Amino acid sequence: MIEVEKEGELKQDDKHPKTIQASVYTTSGAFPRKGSESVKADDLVQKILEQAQHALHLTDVSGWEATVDGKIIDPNKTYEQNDLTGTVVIHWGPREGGGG
Amino acid sequence: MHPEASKLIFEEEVGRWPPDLASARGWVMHELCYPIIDCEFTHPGRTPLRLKLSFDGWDDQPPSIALLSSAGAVLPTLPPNPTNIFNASAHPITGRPFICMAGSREFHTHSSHLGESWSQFKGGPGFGIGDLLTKFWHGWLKGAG
Repeated sequence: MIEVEKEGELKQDDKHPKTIQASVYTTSGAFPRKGSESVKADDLVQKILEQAQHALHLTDVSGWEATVDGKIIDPNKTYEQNDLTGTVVIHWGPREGGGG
Repeated sequence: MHPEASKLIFEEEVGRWPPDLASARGWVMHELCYPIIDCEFTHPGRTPLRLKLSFDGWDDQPPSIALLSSAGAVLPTLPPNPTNIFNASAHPITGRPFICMAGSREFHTHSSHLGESWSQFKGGPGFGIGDLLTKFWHGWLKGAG
């Protein structure tokens, strides 16, 4: 019986994939403007960056990098693959130049 | 650039920042009033670095940047383990370590970069006020000291 219940819980988890509260901060504004977006843990981070680019009218984001808590994340991976859970503030902006 | 025009551009750019941008990034704003941005980068486990950027003449000229301690003293040497945007040698004009990256006045006035004038970068992607501060922050974040 216990086994059946556990299986039931797992199935329930599958029906309701883990969600994350995400927001994107740039020096041209934040997306969403207030609060956060509810996103799936298995969504690519790139998806919300594209939404932010559109909403904030960012014309050229080539060479930009995204960081969370000071660490660079890979937008072409999911939140899960980037080890991101809970509430996530993504800072997005141009990468520094090479120095000289 | 007339100072009033420079001030207007400065305030328009800075006014677009989300109100809680600084706190969300661990930036302590000691001053944010034309022509000065005095911003301290902080992060758990790191020695903070304070940058005092002077935007006088923006955007005909890029900001001049002084590297400061948390207490506001000019740093005679770089903090440990910086990344390569920070140059430990004495700048020919200021005599102090400096940020050696396009968009820093000390870069464009250094004898090694006189062929890379600010006019080549001014107004381009990645060279607004927020872009520059973000790039300096990114450069600092990648250090270890």
